[in-house]
Amino acid sequence: MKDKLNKFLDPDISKEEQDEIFGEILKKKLDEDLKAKWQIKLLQEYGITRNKTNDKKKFSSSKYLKIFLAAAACISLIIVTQLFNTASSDPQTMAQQYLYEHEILHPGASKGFSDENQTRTLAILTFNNKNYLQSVRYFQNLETHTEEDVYYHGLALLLNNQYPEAIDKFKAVSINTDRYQQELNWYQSIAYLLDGQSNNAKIQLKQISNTDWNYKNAQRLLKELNEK
Amino acid sequence: MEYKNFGLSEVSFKKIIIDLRKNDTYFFEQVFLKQFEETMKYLRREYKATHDDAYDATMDALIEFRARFVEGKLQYGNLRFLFTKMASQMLLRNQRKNRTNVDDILSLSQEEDTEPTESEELNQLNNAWLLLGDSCKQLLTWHFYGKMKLSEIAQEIQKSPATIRKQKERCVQKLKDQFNLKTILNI
Repeated sequence: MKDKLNKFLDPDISKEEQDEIFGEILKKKLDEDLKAKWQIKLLQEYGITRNKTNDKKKFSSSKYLKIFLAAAACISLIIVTQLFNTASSDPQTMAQQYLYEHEILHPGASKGFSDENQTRTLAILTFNNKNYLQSVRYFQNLETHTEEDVYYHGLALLLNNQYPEAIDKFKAVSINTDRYQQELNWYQSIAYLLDGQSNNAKIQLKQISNTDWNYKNAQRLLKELNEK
Repeated sequence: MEYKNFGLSEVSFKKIIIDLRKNDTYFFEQVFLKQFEETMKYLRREYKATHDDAYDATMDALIEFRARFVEGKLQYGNLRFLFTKMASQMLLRNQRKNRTNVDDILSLSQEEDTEPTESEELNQLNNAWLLLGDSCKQLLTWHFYGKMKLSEIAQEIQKSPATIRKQKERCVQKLKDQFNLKTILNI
């Protein structure tokens, strides 16, 4: 795709070649658009959805995949063992680990057929498919934003490694509602840590009280930050 | 005969082609999205495919079917058989691709991935596309995606073929300019 785009942008390309390459890249884009549109229709009108949890079954059908899985398991074991030994001295690594420890999913697709709802549904679908870059784009294209939109937009930015932008979104949600306060305290702390803002991370982590979500993990991070 | 063609008459079959060439997918969806579940079931039953694999293969078959419609490569006759066959081929193709990917991972584990992902490229294209005017989007879509000849488009929107040809060149150039600008600014 990159080679084709570079060729397409080459000022010396012939008209025929330009048309041929443009036809191919436009087809790719519009095919993707159609797939996204049909995913929504299949979900909303026929209740058919792609179920990621079944992915594991296909791995068992190939000998190579079994070998790969075994190798991956060994590598994971080594990494986890190393993390036990070294991660305690690195709050950033711990934050990264915590962030990806559990799958973060948006609770549901919006209903309706307006363009606005379609963009929102695409933002949610791409978020749940872990295509965070695309999800950010759809959230940006929404003309009106609910608190939930801003919160998940922030999460998409965080998961797409855009930490300062994620922090801005989280701050914006906090100003308007305390609905996501516990989650925001946690994810904003993670974003500060990953962005290298240790002092702000400490301030945010201290706001997580002993009955809040992720209190123990917050204390572990604070301990490491204070020892640093 | 209509059973073999998902209930479509020959006239409806022709209407789908005309619609799809203008990127109007409504009628196509009415007919083919209804077959989605049945096709998935077939793939799961006949090939022991997983739910996800059957979903992806059926989706790929739909995309390929649209392309064949606009390219005039489908004949009215036995669409049901063709669609099921195509979904089966897509399933086998995807399985082969997955196997190759894993082999690549095993043999290229040391190679650092510095290339931007394809979705990033597509995202850049999407951003440039968004800045195009509606008439440009329509013209480029009808011509490149719907495979309409420029003379057919000219007739449809009652302009001279020369005007449409010029407009097409201008639209492609505009897209290239948007794309270059975005690449330079890195946005």
